[in-house]
Amino acid sequence: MSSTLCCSFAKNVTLRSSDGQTFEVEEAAAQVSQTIKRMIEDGCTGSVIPVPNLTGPVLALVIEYFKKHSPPSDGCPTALLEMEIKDWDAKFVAVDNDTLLDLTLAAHYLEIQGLLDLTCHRVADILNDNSVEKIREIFHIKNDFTPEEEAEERSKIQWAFE
Amino acid sequence: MEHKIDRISELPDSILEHILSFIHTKQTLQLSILSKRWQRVWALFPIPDFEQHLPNEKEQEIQRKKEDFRNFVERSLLAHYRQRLNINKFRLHMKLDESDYAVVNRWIDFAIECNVKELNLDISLRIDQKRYELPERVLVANSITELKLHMCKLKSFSGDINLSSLKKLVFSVEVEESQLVQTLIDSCRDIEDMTFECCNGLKSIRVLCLPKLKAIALLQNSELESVEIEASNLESLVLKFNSLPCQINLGPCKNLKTLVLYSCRITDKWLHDVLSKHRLIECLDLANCSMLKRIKISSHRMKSLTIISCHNLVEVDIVTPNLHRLEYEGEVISFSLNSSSLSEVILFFSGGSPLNAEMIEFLSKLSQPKLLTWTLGEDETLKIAETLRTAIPCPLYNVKELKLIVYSIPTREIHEVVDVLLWICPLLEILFIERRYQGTLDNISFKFSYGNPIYKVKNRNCCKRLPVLCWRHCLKSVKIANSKGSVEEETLKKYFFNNAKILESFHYL
Repeated sequence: MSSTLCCSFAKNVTLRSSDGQTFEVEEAAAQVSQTIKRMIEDGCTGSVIPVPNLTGPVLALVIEYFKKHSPPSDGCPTALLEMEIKDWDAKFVAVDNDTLLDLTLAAHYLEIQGLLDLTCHRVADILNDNSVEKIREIFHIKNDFTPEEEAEERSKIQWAFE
Repeated sequence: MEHKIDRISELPDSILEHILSFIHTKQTLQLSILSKRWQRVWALFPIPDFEQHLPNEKEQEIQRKKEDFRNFVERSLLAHYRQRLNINKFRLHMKLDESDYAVVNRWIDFAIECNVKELNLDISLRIDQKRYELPERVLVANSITELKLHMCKLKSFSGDINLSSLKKLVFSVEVEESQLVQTLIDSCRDIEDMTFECCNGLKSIRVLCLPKLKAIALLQNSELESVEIEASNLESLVLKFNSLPCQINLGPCKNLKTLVLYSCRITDKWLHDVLSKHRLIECLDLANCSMLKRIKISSHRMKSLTIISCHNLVEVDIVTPNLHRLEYEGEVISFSLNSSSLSEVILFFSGGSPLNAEMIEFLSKLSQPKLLTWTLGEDETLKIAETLRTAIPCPLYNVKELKLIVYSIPTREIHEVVDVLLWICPLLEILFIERRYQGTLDNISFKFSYGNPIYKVKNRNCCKRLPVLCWRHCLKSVKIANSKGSVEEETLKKYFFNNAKILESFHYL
């Protein structure tokens, strides 16, 4: 245990986005992503780790998330710290819908369970708070039902909304 | 608008399913009419739970809604069945009339035909006190990996149980024959996790030779008389009883890490024997075990220890060098703790007397955790006699973070409370006080930072018995969040500037 601690102290890795931007981040922080963790364990640390599914601006945001969620150096997270992180998380996903979906996909590719839960929950809240028409407008979803089909579908689920 | 891309519909199924999982099932229905893509995603999703109707609704209305619901579930299940789609989860929570029996049994048949993996049934009869009887088919459905049953009744069954894929089982059922459960357990060779909660009719449980079993919870099974467990890979055991005495035989479970005992009639000797045979236990919870009098724990593995409301306890002696977390709720008793790595203590003294010498001694034996969460029922406890202050050293000078929860109306000014808390923990960095009373919840938090102390102190009455100087000599800045109004703010400001000798900055956030 003590040897890993000593070796991983402030050890950095470099991540490269799809558009060629590079970012340096502490190895311990980047391991919040299971995908990156596996790559590091497979010995990718010496060179640059490519992250081909993410553009520079998205990767920059994800790295912000890494930093906030990297395990604290002195062991147990405290209740207050957890509260602070929760607040930070809420602000982190209060972004425009395009960015929100970018982050959702990034969390999926990089296997960051916490971020995936966070972004999916945020999308769910938007879906929950709006009517069908409004949701179509917000996310540009094309209604491919004919009016007759839609009326029929609506009648099928009517029981739940009375 | 035309050129905007619909990105949300392009998300992989697994993400959309994840998103749907955060939405109330009823609400997800409306998403099925967004577009055909969403309808397909929705169809992969479990059947929605049936909402309970309001009791004051007219019978006619209830029947009509039930009819609609029945049609809906039927259509959805049939769609899976016809397309030979597997069903991952089938959850059905509903109240039935006896006339619905056949329909519900047919649904369960459909789900089993579609190789359902997770079957979760919470079915009760709407009017009658009788229980819904689980169809026998379920007991031979070898696709099921997770079976959760609530409210139903398990009849006796003469055939061979075949639940060979079962990994997780949660039963809260009425059992006609205790032996049936035993046969079921014995036949599930791959089972990893089982819970029996409030199972009427369950009289005994014997768990032997289940090599994959990792967790067992037996919770409030009112007729349970005997428990026998021996499982080499068991990691977690949770036992919660009602008042009926129950024979607990715990054979060697050499990998046991978590042991939770609630309202168990166990003796000091029983606990001692179990702990000495299971040296890997990391987490021990004891609650409401009223036969315990003297607890002695000595373990290098123990990381978390909880002792709650064991009312006859008089002495606790703990030697656990690696303990991280301690929770104690009860009287102030003879207490000794030897632990060098404690980071969190959660404390709740019963009774509401002012701080006395015994309590302070108890606090001082807590091995100086970094974080202390302290719950109080009365404001009174936050009083300390002036004579005690000078006679006894401050008990918790290494605590950095204190979270105080008080279940009472504030009877004293905030600066008086802070004064007592800073006496108990004289070098706090974070102080968080929360009050919960009459449905209100308010809180205030303080952040303190310290500079180099002035060592040439003439009058050090406040902390002369401490190895370090207290906050009065080194507090440099105070930040306060959520204060209540300007009067309180002024009093606090005055209090800190009067007492902290080198205080430089004082802010409200």
